[in-house]
Amino acid sequence: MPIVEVRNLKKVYNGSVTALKGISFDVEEGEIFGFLGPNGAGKTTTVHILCTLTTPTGGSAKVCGFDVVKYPDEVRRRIGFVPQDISVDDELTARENLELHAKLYHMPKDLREKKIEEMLELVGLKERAESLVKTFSGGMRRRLEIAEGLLHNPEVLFLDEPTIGLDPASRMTIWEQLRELNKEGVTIFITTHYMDEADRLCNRVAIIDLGEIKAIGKPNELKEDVGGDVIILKTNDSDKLLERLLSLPFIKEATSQNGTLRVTVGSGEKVIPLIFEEARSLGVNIESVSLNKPTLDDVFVKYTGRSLRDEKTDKIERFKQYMIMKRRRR
Amino acid sequence: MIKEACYVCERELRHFIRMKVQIISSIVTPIVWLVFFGYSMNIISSGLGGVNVLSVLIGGERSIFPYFLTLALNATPLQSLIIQNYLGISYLDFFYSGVIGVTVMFACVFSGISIIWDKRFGFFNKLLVAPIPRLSIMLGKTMYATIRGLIQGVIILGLSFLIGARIRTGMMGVALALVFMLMIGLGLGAFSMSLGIKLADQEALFGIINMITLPLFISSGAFMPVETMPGWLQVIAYGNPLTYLVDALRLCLLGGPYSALGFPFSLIDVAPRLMKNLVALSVFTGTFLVIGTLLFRGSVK
Repeated sequence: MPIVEVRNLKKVYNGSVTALKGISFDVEEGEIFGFLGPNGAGKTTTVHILCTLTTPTGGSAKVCGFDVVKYPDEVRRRIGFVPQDISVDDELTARENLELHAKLYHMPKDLREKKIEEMLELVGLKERAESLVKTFSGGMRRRLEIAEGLLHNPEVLFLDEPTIGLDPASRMTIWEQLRELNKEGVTIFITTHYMDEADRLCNRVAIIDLGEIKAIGKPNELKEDVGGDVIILKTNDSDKLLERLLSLPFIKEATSQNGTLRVTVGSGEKVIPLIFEEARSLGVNIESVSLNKPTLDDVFVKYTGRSLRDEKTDKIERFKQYMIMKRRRR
Repeated sequence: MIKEACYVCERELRHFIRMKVQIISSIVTPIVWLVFFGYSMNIISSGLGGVNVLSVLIGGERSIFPYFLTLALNATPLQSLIIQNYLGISYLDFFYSGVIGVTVMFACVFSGISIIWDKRFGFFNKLLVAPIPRLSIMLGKTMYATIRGLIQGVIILGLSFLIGARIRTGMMGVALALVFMLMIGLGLGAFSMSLGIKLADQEALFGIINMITLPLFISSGAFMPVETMPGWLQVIAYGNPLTYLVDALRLCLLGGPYSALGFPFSLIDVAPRLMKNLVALSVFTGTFLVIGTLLFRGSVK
C-alpha cells in the first residue's frame, strides 16, 4: 500500500486562482520522492494539503492510510513537516525549540530528552544547543528545522524546498542527512526547483508545472526518455568510424560534423569502451572524448516547452503566485 | 487541550522574559503617568481642598474640608456625593487604580500581534501541523496575555504603593483586584487574538488597537470620575469594559465609601457595586471569548 495516495487533487484559491488542476500520484514506503517544478507550479499547495494545512477543493489525498480531510489528527501524528520559510523560533534556544516541539507531540519526558540529544547529534548542533536560534546561520536553522520535523519519529517527512537559499556545502550536508534518514526507513517527500537536487537525491521524481503533473518516474528513466546520452568524439578519421558506428545496434543516432562525431546512446558509460574497441580495430585514433548526459531540465523542457532555469513567467503567472503567496501568509 | 495551551503559553512567556526593552517600557510608561499626573493633579485637588500641598505630595490626605465645601456651595445631592467621594482622597489614590487598569489593558490588547508574527514566520503553520486541538493555540496565547497583564498590573500596584498611593483594604482587596485583572485580561486577550487571526499584518492591528484604546482609556474613569463626565461621554463610559475594571479596582483597593466623613474603609460596603462590575466584566469577557473562538474556528480548519 502506498504511504501517500493522491487522486485527482484540485485546489482553487479564492474561487478564481487554480493552483492544482487535478493531480494523482503515489509515494511508496521507504522512497525519496521529489516534486520538481518552478515557483508557482503548485508544489507548496500540494505539501500543505498533505500536511493538513489547506483543504483541497476536489479529489482526495491519503497519508499513511488516513484521509487528510477526514482524519487530520491521525495524519498529523504520523508526519513531519519542514516548511519552506524557516520557522524555528528565533527567540528560543535550539534545545527549547526541540522541547516545545516534543511536548506538542505528546512525547513522554524520558523519551523526549533521549530523542532531543539524538537529533542534536544527527544534525550536528550539539555544541550550539543552548544558543538562541537568532544567532544561527541559514544552514543551521534549516538543520534544526529538519531535526524538529524528525523528532517525533514520523513515518513520512515532508520537506518544502529544504535547501532554498543555502550555500553548496550546507546543501550537501542536508542531502547527506536526508539519505541517512531514508536508510533508517523514513519516507521522504521533498519539493524542489533545483534539478540537481531532484536528480541526485530522489528515487522517483514527479515533474509539475502550472498545477499539473507532466511526468513521473526514476530520474534515469526520465532522462533516457528525452533521448539518451550524447558522446562527442574527435578522431583523425571520423567518417570511417561513423560508418561502423551506424551499423551497431546500441547506437541510436550518430552524425559527423567538421571531424567531430556526435553519438546518441542509451547509457554513455557503457558505450564509450565499446566505441574505443571499434576504433582500435579500425585503426582510428581518438583524440578526445566527452560525455553529455541529459539533465532533468531537458526533461522539463521536453514536457513543458520551457526551461526550469529561466524563471521568466508571464504576467498571469506572476499574479497567480502573488495570490498564492498572499493566501499563504494569512 | 489545557496541557497543550500551557505549552503554547510557556513559549510566549519565554519570549516575554527575553524582551527586555518591552518589559522596561511597559513599566516605565505607567510610572510616568503615575508620577506626572498623579502628583500634578494632587496639587490641583489640594488647592480645592485647601490642604497642605506638601502633605498631599507625601501621600494624599483625607480632609474634612470637602464636606464643608459641599455645604458652602449649596450643592445638589449628586454633586455633594461626588465631591465627598473624590476630594476626600488624594488624586494619586484615585488615579493609581486607573493606571493599573490601563496597564493591564495595554498589556493584553496588543498580544494578538504574536499570532501575526507567527503567521509571518511560519511558526503558526508548525503549530497547526502538530496534533493538538486548534483552540489550544488561541487559549494558550490568551493565557499568556492574561498572565502578562497580571504581572504588569501587580508591578504597577507595587510601585504605586512605593510612591505613596494607599491600599486601604489589605491583602483581601489586592486578591480581589487580581481576580478583576484576570477577568479583563482573558476578555481583552481573546479580543486581541481574534483580531490577530483575522488581520494579515501588524500595522493593521496597531492601527485598530490605537484607534480604540485611546477612547477606552479616556472614557474609563481612570483620569476623572465618570460622574463628572458630560452625558454623551458617560454613555460611552458605560459601554466600556475598562470603566468597570477601573471602578472595580478602585473599590477593591480603596474600599468604600471613600467620602471624607465616611466609615472605615471596607469591602463589605462596596460589595453590591463590585458585584455589578463583576457581572458587567463577565459579559464582556464571555462575549469576547465566544467571538474569538468562533473567528478562530472559522479561520483555522
